[in-house]
Amino acid sequence: MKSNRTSDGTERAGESGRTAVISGQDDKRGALRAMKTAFPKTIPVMTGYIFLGITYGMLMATSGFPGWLPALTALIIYTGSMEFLMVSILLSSFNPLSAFATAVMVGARHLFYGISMLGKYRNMGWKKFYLIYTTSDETFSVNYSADIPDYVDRSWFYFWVSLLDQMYWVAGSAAGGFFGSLITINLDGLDFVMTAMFAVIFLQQWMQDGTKLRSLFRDHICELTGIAGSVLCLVIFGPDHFMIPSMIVILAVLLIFRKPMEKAGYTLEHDTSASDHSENAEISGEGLSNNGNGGDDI
Amino acid sequence: MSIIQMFITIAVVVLGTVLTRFLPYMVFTEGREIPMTVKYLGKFWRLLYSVFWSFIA
Repeated sequence: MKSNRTSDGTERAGESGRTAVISGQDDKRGALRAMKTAFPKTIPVMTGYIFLGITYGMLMATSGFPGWLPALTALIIYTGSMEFLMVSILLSSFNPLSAFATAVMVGARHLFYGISMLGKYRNMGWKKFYLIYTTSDETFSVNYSADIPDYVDRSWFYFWVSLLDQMYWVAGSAAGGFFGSLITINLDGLDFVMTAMFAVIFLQQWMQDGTKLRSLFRDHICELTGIAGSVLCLVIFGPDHFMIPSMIVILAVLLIFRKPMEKAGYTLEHDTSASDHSENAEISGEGLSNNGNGGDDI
Repeated sequence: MSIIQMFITIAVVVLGTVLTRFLPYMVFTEGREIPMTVKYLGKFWRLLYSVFWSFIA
């Protein structure tokens, strides 16, 4: 059935009542189709979030907080690491300024995610606010790396990944908060599924950027920069404090070596004055590629 | 910490996290062109984040 949507996802002014009805049906079908595509990609996140959420809920409950509090904080804060810190913050003396500063520091990585998603989240209509609000490490990973088929509405795909991930986290936290005392299974290690997910995404990138040994450095300069920067900061700052320094080091290296990297084949392909569609593609990262390998989106 | 103080603390934490999430979109609004350097960093950041998170997660 022919869609009645414009390229930016907004509804065209109705030509007739029938067209509007068909359009509404198309939109529902599009949303359903996007959910079917999105759900399988969130399964690793589901496993990790539910069990990690239960751990968080149990921690809150055993610290003396009401059972509903983990669910509420999971819904409105929705930053796992910050929520675990909330337990000690709420148990200490009242200091909103310190709590705010902690939230900004812990959430600093979202600035980098935001920069990466600027193009992809353009023209998302009413969904955009929610997509930005629910950006998490895992949702970002899935949404950025997803290979969305042409017949699937991108905005609905992003929406479902974001919604499902948030629901997993809230459900796990609520279960831990309300029923944590009844759970006697040892959940240690189950959150490793998310580490596995990041490792798989990394391997996909690695394979896509090239597998030849002789061009190892040229093809994988970005990945190698990431590994070197992370290891260096891990050694210097230790496992609890290396995240932000690593991000700064990696970004600094990328800026300093921008020209040599572009000479090596990593360039911006399109001009910014391109047409609407290609501009979106370029901004979303699709127009940027390693010339030696063609398109590089996963 | 009283219940009101608890909710104020939660509110400021929400404010802090929301600020970090929305800041890039507030700076680079839809009508504004994204500078090439920002696109460049955004592009390569995606190549790096999974390496990075494989260490952290």
